[in-house]
Amino acid sequence: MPSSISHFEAGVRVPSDTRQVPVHQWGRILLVVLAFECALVASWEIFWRHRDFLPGDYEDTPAVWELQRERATAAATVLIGSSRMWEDVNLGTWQQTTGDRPVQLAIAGRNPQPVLADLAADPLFHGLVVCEVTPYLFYVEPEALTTDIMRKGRSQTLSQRAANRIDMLLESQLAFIDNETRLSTLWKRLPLPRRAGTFPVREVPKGHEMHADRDTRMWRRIETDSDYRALFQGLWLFYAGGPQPTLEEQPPSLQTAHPRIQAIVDQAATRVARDVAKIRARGGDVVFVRFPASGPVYWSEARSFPRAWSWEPLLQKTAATGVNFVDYPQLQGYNLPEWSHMSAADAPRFTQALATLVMQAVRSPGAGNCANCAVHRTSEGQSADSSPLRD
Amino acid sequence: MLFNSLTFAVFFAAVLGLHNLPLPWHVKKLNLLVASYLFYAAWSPPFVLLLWISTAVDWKVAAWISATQNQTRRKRILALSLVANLGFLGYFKYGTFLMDNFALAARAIGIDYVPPKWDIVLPVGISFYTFQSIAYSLDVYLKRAQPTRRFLDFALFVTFFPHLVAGPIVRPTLLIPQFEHPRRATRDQLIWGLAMMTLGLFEKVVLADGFLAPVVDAVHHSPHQLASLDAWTGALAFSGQIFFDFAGYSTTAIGVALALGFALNDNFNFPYAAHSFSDFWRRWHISLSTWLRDYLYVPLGGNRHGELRTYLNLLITMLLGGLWHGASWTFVVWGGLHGAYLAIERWLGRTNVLVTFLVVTATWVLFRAHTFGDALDLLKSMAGASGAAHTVLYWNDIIVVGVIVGGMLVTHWRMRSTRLETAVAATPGWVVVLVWTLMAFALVAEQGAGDAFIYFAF
Repeated sequence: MPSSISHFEAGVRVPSDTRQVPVHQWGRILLVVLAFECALVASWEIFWRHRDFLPGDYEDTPAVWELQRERATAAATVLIGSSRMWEDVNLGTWQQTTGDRPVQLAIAGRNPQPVLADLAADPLFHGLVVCEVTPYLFYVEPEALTTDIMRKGRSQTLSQRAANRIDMLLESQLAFIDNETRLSTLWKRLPLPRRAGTFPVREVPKGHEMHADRDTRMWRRIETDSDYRALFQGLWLFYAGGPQPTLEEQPPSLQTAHPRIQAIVDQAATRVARDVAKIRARGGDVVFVRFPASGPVYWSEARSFPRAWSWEPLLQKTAATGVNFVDYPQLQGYNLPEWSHMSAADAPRFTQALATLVMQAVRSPGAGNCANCAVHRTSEGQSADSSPLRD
Repeated sequence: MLFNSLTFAVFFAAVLGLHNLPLPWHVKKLNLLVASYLFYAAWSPPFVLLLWISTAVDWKVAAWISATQNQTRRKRILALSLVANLGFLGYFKYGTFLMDNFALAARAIGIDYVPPKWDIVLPVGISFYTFQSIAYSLDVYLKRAQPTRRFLDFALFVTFFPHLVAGPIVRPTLLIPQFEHPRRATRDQLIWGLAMMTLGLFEKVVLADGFLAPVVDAVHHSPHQLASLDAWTGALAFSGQIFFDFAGYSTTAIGVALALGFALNDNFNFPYAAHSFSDFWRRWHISLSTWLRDYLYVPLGGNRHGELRTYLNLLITMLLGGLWHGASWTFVVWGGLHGAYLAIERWLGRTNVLVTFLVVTATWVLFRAHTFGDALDLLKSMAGASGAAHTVLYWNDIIVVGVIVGGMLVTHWRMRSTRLETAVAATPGWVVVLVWTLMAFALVAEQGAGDAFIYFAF
């Protein structure tokens, strides 16, 4: 009978309780590895700092988004939408203009409706929601992509939350921590010949720099490097279906509205109206905003989602206030280097104008009286311009 | 807590520091036990309760079995361990699967039964630690060993964080004796342990997650029939991804344990150099293969009752091995196919390295696909039998998969008869420095997104 667990019967293989260590001068090897490693990482950091990457530019992850969502419950103003809300609005300027620093919950390239629904379902939230509407994303982009980000943020384990804090600490000090500088990303970006049938642009390259509370601005390289800017323009052109400088030159598919626009808008607006009503019932409010776009991006959106068939029904169904950039000279004339987002230099001036208009709209509930008749509650009157081509 | 997370880096530094303080041995073991519970609770604190129950049940079961010679009573007591451990596993891992299949069967005979919607979260690593606990009770039942006298040693054996959530599945006979006397890594063990951790994390973060996973995802997420080149690239990429992911975890786990002064068993031995399917299973997930051999195949009769019974035992063992990997028929069929390969190979004689690798790669398609339809589509594309074939991969993807998987195959072939330690010992010091530095730098530069290891889901 064996006397302890360490004795097996004959025939059953018992692995050794010690592992072989290769014979080397390990102390010396470790010291040299550490020295080389420090030198390599320092060089890597210096290299990227010379290529427009800076410390304090954070990755936007579900964990980072969730940190802001937790703050949003008690916030007076929450910004939702997609990349235009994210990049075009400067939180510091908004704070200077209104006295309140908003919480930034916009998610690049995603439909904001689930975020609105989430705020509406939060019984403790009774603030103002400023919702940016980029038509394609707002009406067509699958909501599941947004809810997936929200779910990932919310279901983080304790370990993931701790890792996120440590990661942010490192990102505040190191410039090279960025998705764009990963080895795998650098390899993906190598300009090899494209195989027939693959998408011309693989994924959206780095377009922004984001600071601690998701305060974001356009990345300087888009403004200073015309080749890099052309990457984005090519991407938007691809999505827009080709260059569209004038109505006559529009591809036939884009000369008419989105084929199912009425059904899509009606369905979305009905759902959104319920969320707006819930927020209002608690004393909060919702303002919808259309941000500037230019060139082919502007044309594509105007054709696919004409104002009278998308923007106006949304405001009518929700009885909400809307601010559309086409109605306000002070929201026009900004520098949009790649046609969709604002230059970092112009974002503060735009933010000041937008924040002023939004606050005016909120403080004047009967808002049909605004100077340009575009900050309005459409349930109380007709839209400023119902032409389907206006936008 | 993931090995490839910053949280683990801080956690491990703290544990290593504590373990090297001049404290009594039982205090160090307590530190390790508490650290292991923290490691597990960092995912979901309530599931620590399952670990406690599993530990307590098998501790008592082994003591009761050892205290009686009455065979019927011993069997009944052993059943308690099996029911408790397999009960947890069945409920958490297979509950939804069983109910869904019950509903399907009911519908097949005309009963429209809709099962209640269960929202069961799978406790991470449950398949690993339940198998370890069961092994302890079985060893005592089979009189291969007597139970350990110290509860702390047993609890630490079940919970020891390097192997807790994804193996290697450690036998009680290997690890428990290591807790009996004070252990601390020598300077060389500590540094070699750190080198192994670097290698394992490099495999996981850089090769599996950074370069191969996006290619695999692009192929498997495509709703279209794919061009043959894309399909094969995706399948080969998954062969590489699952190896680097799982072998990377095992190597890291072994390195972590070694840096603390403990020895864990090897889990991989360059499996893609296998010259046959039986050789493959001697090299792939060795700790599971040997567990299934010793606690399932051999008790079923192994090869002691004629050829036909041997084939049947192989098939049963591999079917259950497939089911162990996940609650899905695709895993069962994947396991069944490997059982069939083993049986056919036994019947026909040996196969060769290339055939083994290609068949294993094609069979991984079932392992990775969510449905049989998805798997069939990809297999058809690989065979060039799909109609309108789409391209989803770029030349960058195809080249990188070729380089990494090609490099992996060459390495496995050259290392097929040796061990990592032997090869490193025969390598000049400056090459070791160069390789270690480059792997560590690649790890830092790739950064990693903290993706979970594939085997955590099992």
